[in-house]
Amino acid sequence: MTTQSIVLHQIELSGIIDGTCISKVLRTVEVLDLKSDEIVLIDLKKVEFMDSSGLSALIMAFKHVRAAGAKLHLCSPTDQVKVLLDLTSMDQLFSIYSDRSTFQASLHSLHNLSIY
Amino acid sequence: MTTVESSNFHPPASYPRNSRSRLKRHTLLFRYLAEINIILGAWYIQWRIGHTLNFNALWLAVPLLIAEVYSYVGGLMFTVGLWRPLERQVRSLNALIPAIPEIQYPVVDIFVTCYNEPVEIIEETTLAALDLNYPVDKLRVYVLDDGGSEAVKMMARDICRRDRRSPKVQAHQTQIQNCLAQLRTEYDRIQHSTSNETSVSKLVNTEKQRLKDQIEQKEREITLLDRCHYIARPKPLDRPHHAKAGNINYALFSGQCSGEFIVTLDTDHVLQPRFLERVLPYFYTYDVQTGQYNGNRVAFVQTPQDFRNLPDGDPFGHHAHLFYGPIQQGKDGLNSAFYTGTNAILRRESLISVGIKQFSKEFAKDSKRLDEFDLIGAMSTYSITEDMNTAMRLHAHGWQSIYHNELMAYGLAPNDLGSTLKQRLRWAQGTIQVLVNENPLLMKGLSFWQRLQYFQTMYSYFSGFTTLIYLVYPILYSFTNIAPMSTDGISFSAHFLPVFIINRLTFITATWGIPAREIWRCEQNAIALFPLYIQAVVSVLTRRSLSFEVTPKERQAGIFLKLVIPQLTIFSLTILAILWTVYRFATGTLPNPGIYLLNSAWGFYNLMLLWSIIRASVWQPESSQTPRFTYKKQQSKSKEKQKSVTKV
Repeated sequence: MTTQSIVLHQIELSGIIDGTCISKVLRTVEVLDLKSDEIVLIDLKKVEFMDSSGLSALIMAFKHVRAAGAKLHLCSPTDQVKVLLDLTSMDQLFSIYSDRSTFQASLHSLHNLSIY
Repeated sequence: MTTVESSNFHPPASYPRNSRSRLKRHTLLFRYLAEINIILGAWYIQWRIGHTLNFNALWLAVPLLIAEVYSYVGGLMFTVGLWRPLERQVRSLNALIPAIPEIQYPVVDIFVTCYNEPVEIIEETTLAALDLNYPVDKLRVYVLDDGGSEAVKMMARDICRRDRRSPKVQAHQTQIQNCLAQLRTEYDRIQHSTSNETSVSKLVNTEKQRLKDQIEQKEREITLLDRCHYIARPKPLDRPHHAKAGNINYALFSGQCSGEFIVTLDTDHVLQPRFLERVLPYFYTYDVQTGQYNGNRVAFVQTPQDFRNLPDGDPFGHHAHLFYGPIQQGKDGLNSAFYTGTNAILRRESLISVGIKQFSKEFAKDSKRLDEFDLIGAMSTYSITEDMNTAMRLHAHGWQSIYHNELMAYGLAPNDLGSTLKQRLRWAQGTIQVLVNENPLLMKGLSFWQRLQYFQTMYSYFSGFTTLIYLVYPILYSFTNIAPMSTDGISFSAHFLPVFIINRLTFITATWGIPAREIWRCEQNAIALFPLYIQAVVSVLTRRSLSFEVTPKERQAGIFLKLVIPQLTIFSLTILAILWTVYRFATGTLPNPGIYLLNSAWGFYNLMLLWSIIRASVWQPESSQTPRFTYKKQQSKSKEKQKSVTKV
């Protein structure tokens, strides 16, 4: 069995994610200097509250990631964020994992990857 | 006067003294007349169908009957729209009871959208926006320049610099700096305090961190005192730009602005200083149980539009007291106020949440849409009248709207026929476009009355065809002697005149307070613009691509007779038809003088309706009258008006 290697970038958001965070989130993604097939994981565990503008920051980040040919995943959304994602039908846009371990597991099983 | 009980049309009344609404004066009289009008109208239509069809000339009879039924249905919907006009009274933001402390005021972003307008006009609007009565640290103005002009950029920078030095901003800056100095001294004091005990040093460390955070926060606040920003989006040629909606959306997602509320202003609309104080209270509801103001479900507040450059007599019919009056107040009563793109304030959350929902639908169809999320993710980009479509979506998602009938901004109207017609064509095309793409009758989430309101607006733009019938028929009859009805003059008058008279009376009651001359100009325009309405329907239905053309703010020179050729033709033919009738009467060869008298009266009425547009096409400003920059005069007038606005 061949093992591919892949680059995984992890970003952790915390606190209140609203309109004031759009540029901050975008900058965090932009400085990663993404190459194609890299993976970005945004961890939402510590998000206290997210509004629609905060969500739009995630979509903008997604836009940037996809333009670079990379992939974006979200994990550990809090209940409030889950409701927001559900109400805006964002689940079809993002791949969302309930926590980090499910993300890791799916990554392993799907791609047979080892992560650096 | 009747106080309107709080119903599902309105945000739940919290503490009722902060904002109240009641039925407009004369509404009951209007309803009484309107009911008679509707019944008489139905009686007239059934008489027309049952007793007057000329079966020898059905090709002529049926179209007229269809036109009359169309007008009746349109009138019926129009009447329903005026049924519940609301007069709102609201306390200003700084006079609410209980008060909202200034520190809790929301941050407001003001968007001045521009596209190649003269710099002075943009500058005037921007300065007025910065000058609003509002805490300096809560107000930011963004010049959204879709023309990407270097001159506008320099102007915005210059305004920002000047604003920074203004006493208001300086005072606030000193305040922050004092606070900052205090924090720094405190920080230094702790820095030097030493203690060997771990528990104490731990405490000191947390305190240090807290102070550090506060210092950073204050430093950030100082940079936020740059209150005027310039945003020009890149416009690559290979992608759609989505016009004004794209311009606004780009700013919303640029990360440069994050205010809780957004004011959208067309380039030429100079705001009155009290604007925010008067409109913001609608967005909050006082909760007696918690003793707090909470955000409610109001998505936007629209205020009227008026112009500071209208020449005497308003030849182009820009005054809109009928629309920004009974019509909007009626729409407000059905929770379907019309958002017209300028002089309005929107709740950012409502705009973005609905935009994102819509976006996810589009993404499901085509994932490439993600690439233009920042241009399509908030304001609707489906139509060239993005404002109407956006409001409709907000309503469909359960958001509420308010029409606040207090004039708080003066704009510039196009003062030549060419630009006026272009603007009207865009409105007509955009509205029909929305009907085709997102039919309000089928849209989920709208209430029955909201559907009816939006549909009525769209329906009314199909009037071009029926107008043509009304204009052509008297001419046809004069020359061909073929009548669309088989009836005599007396019985026609007996059926038509009561309807006509009561209709006039109803309309006069509904528009009470608006100069008769202006109402007449509105009616003239509704008829005289028929070629434009026909063009709009045809162009949308044949799916020709429509472009968003920005209405010029400066007068384009010239005489515009060639723009009104259809109207001129009808006008001349009608005169000929009347003359021909008179000639035949004089020579004793006229068969039914009674009917011909009615026919000529009809023709004469048509002449009066068409006259306005023909006059407008040759209208020239008087040399002494400079149409622009008569702002000062208007301002003093508006002050008088402000006084007369009732406060609770």
